[in-house]
Amino acid sequence: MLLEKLCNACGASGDEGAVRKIIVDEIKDRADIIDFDYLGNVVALKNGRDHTKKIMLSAHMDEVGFIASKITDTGYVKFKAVGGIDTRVILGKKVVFSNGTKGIIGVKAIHLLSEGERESVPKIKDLYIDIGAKSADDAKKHIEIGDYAVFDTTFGKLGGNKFKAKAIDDRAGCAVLAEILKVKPEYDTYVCFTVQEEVGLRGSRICAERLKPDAALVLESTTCSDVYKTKKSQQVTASGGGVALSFMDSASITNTALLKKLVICAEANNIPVQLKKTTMGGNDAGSIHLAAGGVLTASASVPCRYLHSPVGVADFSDVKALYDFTKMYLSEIGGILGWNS
Amino acid sequence: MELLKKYTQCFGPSGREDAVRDIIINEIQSFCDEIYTDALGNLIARKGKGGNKIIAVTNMDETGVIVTALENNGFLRFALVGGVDKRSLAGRRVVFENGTAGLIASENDNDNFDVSKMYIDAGVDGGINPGDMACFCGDFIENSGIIVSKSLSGRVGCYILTRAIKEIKQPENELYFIFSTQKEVGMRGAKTAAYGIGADYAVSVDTTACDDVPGGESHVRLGGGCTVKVMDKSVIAHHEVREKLTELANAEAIDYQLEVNSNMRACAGAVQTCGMGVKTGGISVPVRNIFSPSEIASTKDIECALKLLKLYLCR
Repeated sequence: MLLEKLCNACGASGDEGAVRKIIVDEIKDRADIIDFDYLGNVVALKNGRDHTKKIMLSAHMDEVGFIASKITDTGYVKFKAVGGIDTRVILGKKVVFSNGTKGIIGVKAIHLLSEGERESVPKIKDLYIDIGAKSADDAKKHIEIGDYAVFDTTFGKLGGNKFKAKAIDDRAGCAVLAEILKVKPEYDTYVCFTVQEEVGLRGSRICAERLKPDAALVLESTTCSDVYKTKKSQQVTASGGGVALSFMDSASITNTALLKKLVICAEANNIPVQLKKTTMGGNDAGSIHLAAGGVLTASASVPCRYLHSPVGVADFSDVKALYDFTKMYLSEIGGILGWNS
Repeated sequence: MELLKKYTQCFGPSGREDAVRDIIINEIQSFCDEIYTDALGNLIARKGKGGNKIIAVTNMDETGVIVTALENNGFLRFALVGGVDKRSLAGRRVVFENGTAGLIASENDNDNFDVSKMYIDAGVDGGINPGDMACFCGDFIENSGIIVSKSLSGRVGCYILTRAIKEIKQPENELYFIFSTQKEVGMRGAKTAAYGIGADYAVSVDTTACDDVPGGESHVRLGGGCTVKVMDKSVIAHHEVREKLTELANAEAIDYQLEVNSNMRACAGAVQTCGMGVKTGGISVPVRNIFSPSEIASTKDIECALKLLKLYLCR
C-alpha cells in the first residue's frame, strides 16, 4: 500500500529525497508533466478539460525529525530538532538515520534519577542519540554531521479501521494526491508535493509564487484530541469523523464564503466533514494564500492523534473522505467560485 | 466626524472585513478612477494616471474573537483574533456579525488570563457556530476635540484615506489607496495588495501607541500633531519618504512628532518588501489605550495627518 510505504520512508525537512522517489515512481504515468525546482518540490500537472484556470493542490512530503550536530568524544551523536518536536515524547525512543543507521535517544534509568529530575523534562541540548558506537572514530564511520534521522516506527493496522504510523502528517495527504492524479480534472491542476513545511512553510511558497494559481487546496493531517479526559469542546477534531476543514489557524484565515460553500457541497455529496475547532497550528495555506498577489486557499485534513510524536493514529475512513473531498473540490470549484457563469 | 463614527462602529475582525469594505466603497466610488479587490479581500482604489506611482495604505480590520466550540446550554468557547490584551478580557462585551451580543466570562478568578478557561455567554442556544467571529463593543464618543471609540486603530486610517480620495481633485501622480485586510493577524492583506502595482513610493497611514499618561514613557503625546514614522517593529522608514514628509510639514506649519516605536507594526512593513521593494514611510495618529475598546485620539492629530498625506500625495 502506498500510504504504508510513504509513512515508513525517512524524510525530515530538507531530506525528502526518499519520499520524493516513491511519489515520482508512483505518479510518473499519471501526470502530463512532472517538474522539479531547486528546493525539491515536485509539481505534477494534470491537464483539465478547461485551460482558463489553474488549480493548485498541495501536500508536504517532509516530516519532523532530527539532524546530527556533533559527534562526542565517546561516539554519541548530539542532535537538533527539525520542526516542532516535543521533548517529552522523544525520551528513550528509537530513531533511524536516512542511511539506515539505527539509534536510541538515550535516557537516564529511573534508578539514577534525582527527585528533581523525575519531575522535569530534559532539554534537547542535554540529550544524545546512542548508535552503539565504540568511539568517536567508529561513530564517524556511520554518521556525518548534518545527517538526518526520523522516528523508527513501522506502519501497522490498529483495531478495525485505524492505523498507526509516524509521519501521517503529511504522507496521508501525499497518498491522496498520488491517487487524485488518476482523475481527469475540470481545470488544469498542479499537484504539488512540497518540501520543508515543518520548518516554516518554505517549499509551498515557491510553488505558489511560480504557479500563480487561481485557487488552492492544501491536503493535511491535523491535530485530533478525541481522547481520554479531553472535554468535547477541546477535542479539536474526531478521528473517524471525516475531513477536517480549517476556519482559521495561526497562519491563515479561510475565506468564509468559500468555506461555507465547501461544507454545503460536501454534505450534498455525502462526504463526512467536520470543522477543526481550534486556531492553533498552521500549514502551507499560510504561505500559499499570500503568494503571487493572493490566492484563495482552503485546507482539508485527516485528523491524526498524537501528531508529531513517534507514532500517530488515524482512521482509513478519513483518508478515503479526504480523497472524495478533493475529487469533489476539483469538479465543483468552478461553480463555487462562479467561473462558469 | 459622522463618517469616522460609522467606520469605527462597523463590524470587521480580521478576515471578516466585508461590511467595512462595503461602506468604504459606497463612500469613495464616485471619486476614483478604478476600484478592485483581490483574493484576500483588499480594497484598492486608483486615482490619477502618470507621474509617480504612490501607495497610501491602511487596514480595515480590527481585533476580535472567534468561536472554536459550543458547550452545552449555549456557552461558546473562543480563541483570539489578533493581539488582544488578555488582562482585560473577562467582562468585555462582544457582538457577532448577526447582531448577537455576549459577555466574556471566565471559569477562574480574573487573575488568570487563560483563554481556554474563558467562554462567551451570549444567552442564546443556536445561531452561532464554530468559525463565527465577534468584535469588541466600544461606543463612539466625541468630547471637545477628543474621540473615544473601539477600532480607532485601523479605521482612523480608513477615514483619512477616504477624505484624501474625496479632497484631492486632479492628482498629477498615479495614486493607489489600499484598504487592507488581516493586519491584526500579521499584516497579511498588505503583503498581497501592493503585489502588482510596482509603486515608486508608499505611505502607510496608521495609529501609534501614545503613552503620555501618568507613569507612561512615550514622547509622542495626544494633540501634539500626527507622527512621521522613523521606525517601528515592522519597518525602518525610507529616508527619502521620511525627509519629504518632514519637509512638507515644516513648510506648511503642520504639527508633527517623530515616531520611534519598538512595539507597533504598520502596513508599511509588508508593503516595503512587496515585489522588488517599495520606498516606504508612514504617518500615524497617536492613540491612547490602543487595542482597548476605548481608544482615544485627538481630532487635531487626525486633521494634521490628513493634511500631510494630501500634500505628500500631491508632491
